[in-house]
Amino acid sequence: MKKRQLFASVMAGALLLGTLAGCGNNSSADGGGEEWPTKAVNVVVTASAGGDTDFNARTFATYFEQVTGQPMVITNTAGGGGSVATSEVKDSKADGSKILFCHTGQMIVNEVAGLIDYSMDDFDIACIPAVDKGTVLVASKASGITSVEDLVEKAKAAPGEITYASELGGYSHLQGLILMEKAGIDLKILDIGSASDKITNMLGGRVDLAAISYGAVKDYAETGDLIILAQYNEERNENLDPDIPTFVECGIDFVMEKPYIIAFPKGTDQAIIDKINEVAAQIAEDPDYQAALIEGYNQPAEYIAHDEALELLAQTREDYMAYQDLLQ
Amino acid sequence: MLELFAQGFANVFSPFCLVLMVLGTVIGIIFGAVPGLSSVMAIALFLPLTYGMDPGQGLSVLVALYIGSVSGGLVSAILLKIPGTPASIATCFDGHPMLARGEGAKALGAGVFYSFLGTIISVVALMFIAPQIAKVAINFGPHEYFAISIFSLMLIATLSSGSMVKGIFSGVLGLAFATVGIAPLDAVKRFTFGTVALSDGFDVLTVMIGLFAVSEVIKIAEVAKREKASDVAQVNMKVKGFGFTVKEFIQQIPNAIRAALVGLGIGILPGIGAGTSNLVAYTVNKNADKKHSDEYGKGYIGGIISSETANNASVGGAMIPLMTLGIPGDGVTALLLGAFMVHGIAPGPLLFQNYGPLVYTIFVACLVATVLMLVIEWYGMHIFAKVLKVPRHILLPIVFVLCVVGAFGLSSRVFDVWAVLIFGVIGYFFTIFKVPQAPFVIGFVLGSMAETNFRRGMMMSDDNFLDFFTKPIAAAFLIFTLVYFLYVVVKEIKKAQARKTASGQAV
Repeated sequence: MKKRQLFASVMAGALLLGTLAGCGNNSSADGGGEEWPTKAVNVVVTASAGGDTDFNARTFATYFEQVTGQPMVITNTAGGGGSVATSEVKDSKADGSKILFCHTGQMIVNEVAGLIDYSMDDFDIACIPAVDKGTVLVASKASGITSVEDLVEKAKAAPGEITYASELGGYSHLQGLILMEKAGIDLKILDIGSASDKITNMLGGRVDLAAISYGAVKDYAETGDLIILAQYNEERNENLDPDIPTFVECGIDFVMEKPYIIAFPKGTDQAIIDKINEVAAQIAEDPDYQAALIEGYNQPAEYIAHDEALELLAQTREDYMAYQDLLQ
Repeated sequence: MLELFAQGFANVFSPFCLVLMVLGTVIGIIFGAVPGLSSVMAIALFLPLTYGMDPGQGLSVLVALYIGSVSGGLVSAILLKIPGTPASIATCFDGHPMLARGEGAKALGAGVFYSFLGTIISVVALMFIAPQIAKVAINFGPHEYFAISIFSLMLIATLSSGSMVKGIFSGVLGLAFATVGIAPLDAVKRFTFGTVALSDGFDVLTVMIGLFAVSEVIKIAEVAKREKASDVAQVNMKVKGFGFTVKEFIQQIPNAIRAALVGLGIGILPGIGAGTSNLVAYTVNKNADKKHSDEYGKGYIGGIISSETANNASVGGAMIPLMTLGIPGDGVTALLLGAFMVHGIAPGPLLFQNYGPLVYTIFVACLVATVLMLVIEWYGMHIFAKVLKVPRHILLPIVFVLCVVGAFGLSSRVFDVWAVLIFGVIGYFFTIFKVPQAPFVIGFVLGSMAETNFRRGMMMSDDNFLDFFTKPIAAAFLIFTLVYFLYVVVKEIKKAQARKTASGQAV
């Protein structure tokens, strides 16, 4: 009998995995756009579980179910700098059963960097459900840099000497390039890797600057091992340390907020897109949702509706395209 | 500190938390034992469920899953000769020969006990000396990582007794497969043939499942049908304690200590973990344990002890940089970092200071999960062994299905299923020509690490290669590599000469 028990548990494990991984793959067409969603919606997230993109997608999904009564099933597909996920959704049926949840890094920077041969025009962008406002520019203690003004001065005195940690061809690389242009300085951009690699190498004094999420460095800012120089937001995000200035306040005309994007395959019924906008607007008003975002990533809720979102993303794409040669 | 411990105990010993941890340990062991399911999958599946719990409970469950799954791999490694996870690859080497000799119970007992010991040693290190040893991780930049990955590659390529050439061949082939996909740094697409699926390269789990599990299924498929009922291996589970004697325990203390140190050290370094440490510890002990060096790979208990102590010691090791620096050491700890972050807690230098009760709850959870693992596996051993009573022509197709399910579960792609089958065929030819599979896996894992860090290092040093030899840690590892290589070459030549003279005398 015990043998059966083992098999039962083994098969249960396999089944559990199978169900969770395979949910939403049955692609029978959804009903008309008006009633959408009539069944669970499969959401492909361009990042692995545990990061900021995954957190935003899952928090949104929780409240989506509360509003619509239908669950969102999250699949994390992090591969190929997010291109595996974007390709998957682009090529799937436009019946509202599969959604892409990503940010401008995958939707725009990947195209600018030449990683994908399609663009945001190959999707039906629904809306911007949330905007990341937690990124800060950080300097290592060993660099001796204390403020943005100090950075500009030191960089002008020794062009190309101060090092900046990035992932080449990625969002953080672009952040560095724009900073250099807007501040009129020359930095040495290095490939360092993920956020944790950046922190490790800054603590070890091997690299001077990096753009990192505030939550990951706030302890080090307190101990003095890392120095937070500025935030990338248009206006100060009061959920961070209120003393962190914006770049604009430091005299550099540089704003780079990171919108998350919900997108459908091209050709999706407009009624579905209207419906998710309606839902997203409702979610953004929910005080519990707002509190969850602040607790997790010091992020105030912000929802940008369809038309305005398209306009913003088109503008962003045009701005980023100016750096195409440098990024590739 | 005692007060904090008491608080931690109170948190963990709440009925809700304890039930969840028992469940977590059992599920972890199953995910570890089933080829195709892994620690990362177990935790990725359960992470979202912990979002709604309080941080202490959520992390306790995840820790239980982690510890259970790293240990669980030993079951299939010993019974089926298929490592359940990459952390138990070296356990196969001696585990299966012991089973074939009728010492399966002893092999399982030793594996379970030393998993327990390895975890405890590393958790104690985590509790008492974490801040001091975590600083080691900061000193490792791209140059140092390149050097240590080359060192580990060399160590494991020479592992195959008899033919070093075959070991190096296997390792180099692994390196070659690691180059498929988007290249590090400049994002050039290599060997993708214009497909999106290949742009992400192969997943390490598809490589491992294919080479070890699918190849074993193919191999047995050749003979299984002709097999009589009497051929089915039987395990006599009537053993005292864990199956090994006090004398053996004392004799094995040096092996266990070396393995624990290797496991802990490799665990602390971000980027490499239990999947590498079990093989490195095995190689280190095989070389250091001079008296028994020849018995490794033929069913020697020391081999199991090396592998299982080291892989579980890497668990606590990986938690050290996570909890003291906020730096995750592997895929699993990256997920644990996410579990902290959703509650607005960023692990870092002030975690102990700001979240003392939570930290001690996690410590207690580690200890409790370790004991749970010991108890559950000890009682489970008898159930596990019954698996062998299932005729192999029924058992292995089930294993095969699980492998395919696991591969698909990685990212819901049929591509990964094909990859598993292809690596299975490669693995089958490896076994026919007696080429070891382990160097392939390690070459695959460390290959991309070596490449990425080499290029990052060159970038950091303005393309000055000499920096790899002027930075002390990097230089030391590279020199070790060279010395060790020469040592093995000289040893092999001597062996060959001895064989020649021996055969000459025989004539």
